[in-house]
Amino acid sequence: MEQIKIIDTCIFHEYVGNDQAEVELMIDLFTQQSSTYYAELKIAYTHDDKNEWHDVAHKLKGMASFTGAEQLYQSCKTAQDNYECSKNDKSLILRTIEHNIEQATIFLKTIKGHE
Amino acid sequence: MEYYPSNRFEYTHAIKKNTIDGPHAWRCLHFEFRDLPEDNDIEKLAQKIFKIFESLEGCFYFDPRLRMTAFCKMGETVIIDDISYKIKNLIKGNFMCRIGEQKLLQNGILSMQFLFSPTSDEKQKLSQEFIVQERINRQNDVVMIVEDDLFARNIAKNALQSKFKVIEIDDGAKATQEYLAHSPDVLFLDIHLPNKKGYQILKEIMEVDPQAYVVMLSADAARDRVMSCMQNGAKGFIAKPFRGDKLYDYIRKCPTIRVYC
Repeated sequence: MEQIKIIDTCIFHEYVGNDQAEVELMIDLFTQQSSTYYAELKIAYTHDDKNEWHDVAHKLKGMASFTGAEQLYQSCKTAQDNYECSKNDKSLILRTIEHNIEQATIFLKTIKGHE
Repeated sequence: MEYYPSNRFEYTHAIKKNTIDGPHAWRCLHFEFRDLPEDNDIEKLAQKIFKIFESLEGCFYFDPRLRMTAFCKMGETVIIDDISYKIKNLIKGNFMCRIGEQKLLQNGILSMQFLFSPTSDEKQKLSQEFIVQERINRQNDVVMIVEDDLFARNIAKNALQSKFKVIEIDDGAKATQEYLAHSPDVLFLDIHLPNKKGYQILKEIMEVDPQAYVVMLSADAARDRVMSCMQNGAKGFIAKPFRGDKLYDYIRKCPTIRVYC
């Protein structure tokens, strides 16, 4: 069974391209924007705002699809599809998303040439 | 005839009518036109309005208390305001005419204001003409991206900015207004936007600019959604994630784009 990747680099370069300056710009943007979306998702969870949860998960899923962040994509899809689930379930989903964002960010930094 | 800078024209003329002062008395009328649309000859228009007044039967009088001019015959009264529809038909273009202030001047001259404003059809026509002229007159091709996701917006902008002037909008509420301000050749429009959905924006833009070249963007490429957008005037639909060259597939087909791509 094929393992879901943290980042599929073929997909990443297919959408982001190969120009090093642009690659670095988009990685910085991913790092910044994923952090923003995670914060918004957490607020939606805290306030039990189902619609906001759905919309933020949708946007984060979209960004994951552009960067080949497959694990993050799957966890965001779960979040979006289960926007009406209980707070307990949402808490688990939120932790998974946080972990996936961290992993994706670390991986992308290696592409950028850091660490 | 006198001209004022604020699109205000005045015209004074005398008509012979039966009045309360006596039969066949001369009455001097002073017309003030405001916001008269272009392509209308003021003097000819004023003369036509005078002819309408002369054709009305009855005794001509001005009620200073109501500040209203009327013609009265055999107990029936026609107030001047009621004939504004006749004046509307004398104007080139789709404009409404409203009679404004009426007053008796010190020298006995009766003064009337005629106020003109475009109908919504005319406003739409004027907007369309403006958009077409903007595209013809400007030096470069313009592409607008309405997308709230910063990442997707950057992907699109990076692909296009070397060849086009790119306008980025991240809020649905501003989209239609910015479209009218920039008259883009191509609009890439996300469906899921904050404050106003892409469907609604598409509808608004097609009403103002039926020639608009709009391509929808969405992560959800369900068939019924695609069909709905195409039926409402969109020229295409791109599913997210997309590569930059996918945008060019549609740009190439836009009839107003001049850049070879």
